[in-house]
Amino acid sequence: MKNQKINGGRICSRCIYNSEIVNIQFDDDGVCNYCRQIEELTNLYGTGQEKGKNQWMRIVNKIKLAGKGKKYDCIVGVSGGTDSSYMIYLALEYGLRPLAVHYDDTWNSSIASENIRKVLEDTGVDLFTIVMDNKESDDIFRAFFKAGVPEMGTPTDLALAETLYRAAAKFGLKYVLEGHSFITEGISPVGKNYFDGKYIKSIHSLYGEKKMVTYPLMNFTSFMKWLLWSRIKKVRPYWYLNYSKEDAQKFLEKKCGWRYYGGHHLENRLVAFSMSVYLPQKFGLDYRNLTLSAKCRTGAISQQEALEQFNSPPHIERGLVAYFKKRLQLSDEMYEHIMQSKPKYWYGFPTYKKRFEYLRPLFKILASANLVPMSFYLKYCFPVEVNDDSDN
Amino acid sequence: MIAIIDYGTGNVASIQNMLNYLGLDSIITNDHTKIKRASKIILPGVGTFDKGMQNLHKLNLINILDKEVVRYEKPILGICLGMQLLGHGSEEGIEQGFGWIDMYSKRFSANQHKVPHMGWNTTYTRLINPLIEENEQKFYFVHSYYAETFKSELVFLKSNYGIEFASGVINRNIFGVQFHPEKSHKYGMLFLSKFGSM
Amino acid sequence: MYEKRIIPTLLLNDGSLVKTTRFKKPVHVGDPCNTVRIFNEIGVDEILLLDIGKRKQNKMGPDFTLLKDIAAEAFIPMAYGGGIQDLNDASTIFRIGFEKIVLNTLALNNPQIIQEFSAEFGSQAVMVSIDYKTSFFGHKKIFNPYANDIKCTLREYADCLVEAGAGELLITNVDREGTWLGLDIAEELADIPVPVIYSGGVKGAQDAEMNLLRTDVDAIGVGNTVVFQKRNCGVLINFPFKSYIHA
Repeated sequence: MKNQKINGGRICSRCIYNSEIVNIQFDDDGVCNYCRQIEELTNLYGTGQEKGKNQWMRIVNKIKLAGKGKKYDCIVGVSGGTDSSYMIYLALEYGLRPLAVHYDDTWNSSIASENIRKVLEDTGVDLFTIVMDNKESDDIFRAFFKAGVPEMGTPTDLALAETLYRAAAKFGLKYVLEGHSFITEGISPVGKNYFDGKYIKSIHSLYGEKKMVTYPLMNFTSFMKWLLWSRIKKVRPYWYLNYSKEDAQKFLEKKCGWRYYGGHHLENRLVAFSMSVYLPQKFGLDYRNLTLSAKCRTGAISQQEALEQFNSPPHIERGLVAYFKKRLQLSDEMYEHIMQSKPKYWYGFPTYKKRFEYLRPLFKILASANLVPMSFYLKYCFPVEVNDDSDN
Repeated sequence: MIAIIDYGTGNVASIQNMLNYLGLDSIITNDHTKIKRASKIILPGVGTFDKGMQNLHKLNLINILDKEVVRYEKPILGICLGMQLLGHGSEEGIEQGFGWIDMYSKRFSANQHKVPHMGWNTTYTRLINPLIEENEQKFYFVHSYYAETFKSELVFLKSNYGIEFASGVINRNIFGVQFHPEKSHKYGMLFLSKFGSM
Repeated sequence: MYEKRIIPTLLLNDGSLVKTTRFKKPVHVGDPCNTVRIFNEIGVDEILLLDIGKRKQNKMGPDFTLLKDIAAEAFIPMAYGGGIQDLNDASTIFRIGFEKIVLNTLALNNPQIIQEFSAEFGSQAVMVSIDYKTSFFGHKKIFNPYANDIKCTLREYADCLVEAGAGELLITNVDREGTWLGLDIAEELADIPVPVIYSGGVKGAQDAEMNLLRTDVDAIGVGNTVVFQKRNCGVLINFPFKSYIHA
């Protein structure tokens, strides 16, 4: 099923999600349930209000207490992007002593790594990195590409999550600050897109060629270990505080010469390929609707502007496709063949999804205790209806 | 189509790489037909003067290049050793060069600076020309010999390395640069794109 | 104006980039194509790529396919060393996109061979790398476990190479390499008539820049500084030298 670009289906009156989005509903005001969900979360967390600030201050104090006598008191995952770069300054502003943590899948652009350097040089914050073996990294990406599933960028997402936990455990820390903001990013609807450790392992065992050695895989056991045994909490400050991406970017540029990379997550080349080429061309998926919808909701751009941007083709860095083929050692024929072949989707492969649904009551408790984000609970623990027109 | 002359010396891949990036069609060749069909020529060069000329002789490229450049006035760009071959000869060897530009290559003396001249250096534009607009530019140099000429109308770029020397020479359709534009990042890209769109 | 150079020195091992400490304990730092691509985007002076795996793999030449892929990422000068056996190897290296070759073991076993390379390709294309250790009493001894033992001093060997036609020398203090303890500038090489690149132990950006102000230093090779965020911290491909970029 493809996202319709032109005013084919019904569009939310507030953002640009349309009737093609999975599980979407519109209320009497024409506002979609995703917008309403964000409203609910804003109320629940008191985002940008006194309530949110107070909640955040309580968390800050807990972090400081837990980190007493240690070299650092919290982890901040950094990618060179806006949210994580700003997070470093935010953490320092509240008197925290963060350790910056980066997961390097060997596909960073220079903007990403130079941004990390500039922010950390300016603030004096230390960096901890897990770097993948490049050949192993490429094998995993190649496996996903050959499998023909949309989630090619997700091995990096999951590896980052695992890296943050490992770093926290290594330095005896209990708190990880994450830069996610449901206001600036929205909640991504579950549909044809999904990931967990078992899914990655399945794809790799079917289509990979190298052994998985340096890849920080988060399997179910390690996930539970971090949550229940190590009790490492993931906190999302932007859920409590006022946060504007545009303001953050201006601040960073002025403060340390940080540079904008042109789009969500485009600082990583593999993700850029996935978002600008792979997903739109093979699956008709364009996830710019997430950030553009978020910008609509905050009033940063008008709905008209958002639709215009969404309907124009994504920017593709010169030489990106050639670089992708070169890294993954794909001939032109192989590349075309895979791009043209029928897509496959996650529900045709072994995953933990059913297990998460079965354990919903447990995850509800964990979400309330801030051990998993509420967005995780909402996304993973409820069944999803999928129209299976795939090739699985 | 730009013909990058393949005579067994020179960083042909890098030149083609940059031309590809700039969207300019090129072919690495020593085939007469392909050279005739090309609209412009690049003569690269890494190595010694004599080896360069000898290879050109061995591959029967002297006459064809002479014809294409002198008679048909096809634009040609000599790079590094390629530039030196455009002159009469060099202290480095005994072979004769093409002689299209009245110049002779000499070795840098080791008195003031180390030889080879290796690294980024500035060029100063001395004549109006189609390849460089700016008064000053930076390029990467790696050479032990430089071209000496007494005709200022042949020098469109000058640089300094202990002495002032010609970093860019020009004679109608014939251009030569001592530096490596294909390895001079954005400056080189600007330069080659001007050559390509000339 | 002629500019001195700061040169990222990247170590290749079995298709991955690594970083050693005192030439031992390689740790993985990244992908060679991506790393060169990053430095190219930043616009560094030039890049030195050394394949350290070749020393152990007897008689195995350079991995030309991989090197071609790497060279294609650079619109800046690149030098390559590691496993170059003969003129053919060198010729192929130039053809696929490198400006200079770096010889070490080959030169130690027969310094006169440099003459062949420089006669064929010009001395400006031939760099010779000399690694050395310092004894307790401060004597410098040339170090290469894969080459024949060489009896002469560092200066004598350097002179011999220059006479044979080497156009540039790379001098590395093995004991300092990867340690952040600071560069060791071999003063006996002060008036060598060809450019000399010093490497091994740079403490950070400031240390490199200070050393480059010395008249006897033409260029500095940096390793740790460009692949780690700072001492005892994580991997980060970076270039903290504002005045040495061309982008």
